[in-house]
Amino acid sequence: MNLDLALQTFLEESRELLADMERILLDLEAAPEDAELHNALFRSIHTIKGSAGMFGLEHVVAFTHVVENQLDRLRKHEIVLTKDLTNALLQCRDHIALLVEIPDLADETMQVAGDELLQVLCADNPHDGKPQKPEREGGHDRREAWHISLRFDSDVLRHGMDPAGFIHYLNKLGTLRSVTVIDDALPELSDMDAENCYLGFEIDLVTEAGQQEIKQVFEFVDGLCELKIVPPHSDLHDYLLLLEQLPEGQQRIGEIFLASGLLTRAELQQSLTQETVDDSSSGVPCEQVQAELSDQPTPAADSALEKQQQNREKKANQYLRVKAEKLDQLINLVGEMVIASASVSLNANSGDETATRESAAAMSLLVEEIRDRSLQLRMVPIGDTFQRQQRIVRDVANELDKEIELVITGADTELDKTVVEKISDPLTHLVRNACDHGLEPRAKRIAAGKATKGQLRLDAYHESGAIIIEVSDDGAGLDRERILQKATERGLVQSDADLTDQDIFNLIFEPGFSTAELVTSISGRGVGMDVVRRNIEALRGTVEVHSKDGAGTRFRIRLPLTLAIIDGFLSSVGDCTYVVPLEMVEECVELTRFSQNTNKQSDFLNLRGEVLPLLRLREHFRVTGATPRRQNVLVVNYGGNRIGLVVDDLLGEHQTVIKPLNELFSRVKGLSGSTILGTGKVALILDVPGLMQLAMSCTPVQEKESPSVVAAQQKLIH
Amino acid sequence: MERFDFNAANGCLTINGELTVYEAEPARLYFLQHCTGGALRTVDLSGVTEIDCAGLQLLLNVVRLPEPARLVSASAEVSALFSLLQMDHLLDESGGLTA
Repeated sequence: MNLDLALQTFLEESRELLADMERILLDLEAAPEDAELHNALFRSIHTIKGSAGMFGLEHVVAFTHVVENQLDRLRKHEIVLTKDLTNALLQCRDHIALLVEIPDLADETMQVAGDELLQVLCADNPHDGKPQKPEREGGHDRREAWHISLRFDSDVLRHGMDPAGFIHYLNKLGTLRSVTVIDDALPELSDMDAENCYLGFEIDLVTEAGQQEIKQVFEFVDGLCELKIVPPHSDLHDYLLLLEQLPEGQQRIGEIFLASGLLTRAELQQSLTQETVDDSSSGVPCEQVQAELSDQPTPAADSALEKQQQNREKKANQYLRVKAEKLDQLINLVGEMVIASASVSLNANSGDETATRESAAAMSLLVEEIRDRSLQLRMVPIGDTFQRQQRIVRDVANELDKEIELVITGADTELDKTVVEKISDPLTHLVRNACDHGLEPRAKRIAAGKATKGQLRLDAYHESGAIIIEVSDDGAGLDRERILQKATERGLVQSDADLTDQDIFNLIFEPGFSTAELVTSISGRGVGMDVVRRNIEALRGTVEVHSKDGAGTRFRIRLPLTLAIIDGFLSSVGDCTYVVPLEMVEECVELTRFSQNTNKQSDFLNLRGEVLPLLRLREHFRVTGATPRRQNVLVVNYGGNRIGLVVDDLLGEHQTVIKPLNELFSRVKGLSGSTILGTGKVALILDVPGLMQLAMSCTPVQEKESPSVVAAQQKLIH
Repeated sequence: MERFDFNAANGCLTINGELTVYEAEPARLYFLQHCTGGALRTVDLSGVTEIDCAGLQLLLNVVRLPEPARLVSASAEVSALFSLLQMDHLLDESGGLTA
C-alpha cells in the first residue's frame, strides 16, 4: 500500500529496461534482422510507457509514445534501422533515463531537448514528431470501439493501486467513448470496508492500439483484476457472451451496452428472450466460443506472449531485492562474529576441556561457512559494467570515425559489489583511452597492414584468489620515446637514467605525467592515469601495463575478490603479528644456514635450485628484540613473482576481518590494513605487492624505507 | 483546518485535504456518524486535494442514501476524476448551500 515503494520499483524496473534497451540496440546493429530483438526492444519501451502512465508521469508517456511508434514501425519493417536511427534511439533512451530519474526536470529546456530528439528520430515521418494522442471522434461506427470490462479485486487499493489510474491511462491510449462505473457490489457505509475496492468498469475505448497493448496497461494489476476485452467489430455473439459472463446480470449490463451503442434494443431483447434457444441452435458449443473469446484475435501470438509473461514472472520470483545497506550491516556483523569466534577458539584451546575445544572448532567451521555465504551474497557479475562499455566504445568510435569492435569475455566473473561499482570509472577511462590513443586511425591501420576494424578486448577471469580484468587493444602500442621525452621534460626521470621498457611504460601512471598534448574530446579531460591507478589501489588492487610496439597495449587490473574478510596466514616477528592473504602463500620453509646467502646486498635463498629473493621483516619493520635461533621463510606468490618473507614463527591460518588503516599510515609502504586477533591484539596485514616491489628493487630496503614505517609500527604496538 | 467538518445547522459536511485509501476509514467513520437520518444534506468538496477510487466509493455511498446528499463545489481534482469516469452528473454544479 506504499506508493513510494511502488515508485521505487518502477524506477528500478525502468533502469533495467533502459539498460536492456541499450543492449538490444547495440545487438541489433550486429543482427538487424532479428525479430526477437525487435520485439524485445518494443516491449521494453512499451512497459516503460505503461508504468510511467500508472504513475502519472505524463511527460515520460508523451515522449516514449513517439519512440514507441517508431519502434513499432521498425519491427514491422516500415522503416530500416540505419546508423543514424540507432544514434537517435540511443539518445532518446538517455533522455528517457533522465526523465525517469529526475521527474522534477520536466521543465522547458528538457521539453525542447526532447522535442529536438524526437524530430531527429522521426525525420522520415515528420508528422509523427510531436507527441500527440490519437484523436478521433466517435459517431460513425457503433462497434468501432474496444469494449473493456473490468472487475477489480477488493485488495487492489491496499496494494497502492488506484483503478482510476488505469482508466486515466486508457484515456491516453485513445478516446474513452464511454465509461460506466459498476457500483452494484458497493455495500452501505456501515457494512463496507473503506479500503476494499468494490468497483467495476465497463469501458468503450476507441484506439489504434492492439489487444496486447490494452492488456499490458493492466500488467501491473495482474491477478488483482478480472479483465475482459472484446475487440472492435466483434460478432454480436461475443458481446452477448460477455453479458452472460458478467456477474451483474444481462439486464443491467445490457442496458449499458445499449447506452454505449454496442447493442440495439432489438438485439438485447432477442438475447434476453432467446437465451436458451440461442445456445442450442447456434451449433457452436458454448465452451468453444468462450475459448475463442479469450484467445482472439490471434491465439498463437497470444499464447506466445503469455508464455513470455510466465517466464518473466518465473524470473522475477527467483530474485529478491534487498537493500545494499542491509547486506553491509550483515557483513559487518559477520566480521564481528569472526573476531569473536577467534577469541572463543583461543580461550577454548587454552583450557583443558576437550568438549569445549570440540564445540569451539565446530563453531568456527560454521562461522567460516557463514562468512563465505554472506560474502557470496554481495558477489555480482562484472558483465553489466562491461556491457556499459559497449555504448561508450560505440559513441567514441562514431565521434572519432574509427571502426572498433569490442570483444568481451568472462562477463559472468563475479566480484564484490563495491568493487564492481568502484572499478567502473577507471575501466571507462581505460576503455576511452584505448579507443582514442590506443587504436590508430583507419589510414594508419591500413598502412600498418592491419584490419581497418580495431579490436578492443575486455576480459575478466579468476587467478589465485584475485580477479584479473584486462583491457587490451590491437593498436600501435605505447610510444616509448615520447613517454620518455615527456617524463624527462617534467622532471620525472633523469635524462641519463637507465630504464627498462617496463619502467618507462609505468611512467604513464605517475601523477605529474600529463597527456596534455594528446587531449581530445574523448580522453585527456577528467581523470588521468594516476587517478586510475589510485582508484584501483584503493581497492587493494594493482594495475600494470604491457605494450608491444605496433601490436597493442594491454592493461591488467588485478583486484581482490572481496574487501571485507579474507583467509589469512599468521606469522610473527618478535612481539608483532603479521597477516598474509592465504591465497598468496605458496609454502613455508625453514631458514637454514646452508640454503641462505647472507650477502647484505643481495639477500636470497636457494629454493630447490631456484633463486628466491628474501625480505627480512624483522629488519624491514625494525622490530626490536633478539633474533631467535630458528627462523622461517614464507614463500609468497603474487602475479607470477615469488619472494620469501623471513619471519620468526609461523602461527597458521586465521580468518581475517580487514580493518582499514588510519589515514596516518596510508603512505606506509608494505602494509595494507589491520585486523583484530582473538586475543584482542592488532595484527598488521602485509601488502605483498608493495613488499615485493621493495624486495626486487636494487637498493637495499633499509635505506629506502621511510621513517614513518617505524612510527606506524611503534604506534600500533604501543 | 479540520479534516472533516460537519455543520449541523445546514447539514453540510466539508472535507479538506486528501480523500484517498489512506484516509478512507476515518472518513467512513465520520460519515457514518453524521449521515444517519437525513442529517447530511450536502458534501462540500472544494477542499479535496486528492481523490482516488476509495474516496469515490464513499461519495457514491453518500449520493445513494435514501435521502441523497448533494456533492457540491468540487475541487479540480474531484472534477477531473468524475469527468474521467463520466460521472459528472453526480456533481452538483449549482454549488452553494441550500437553505
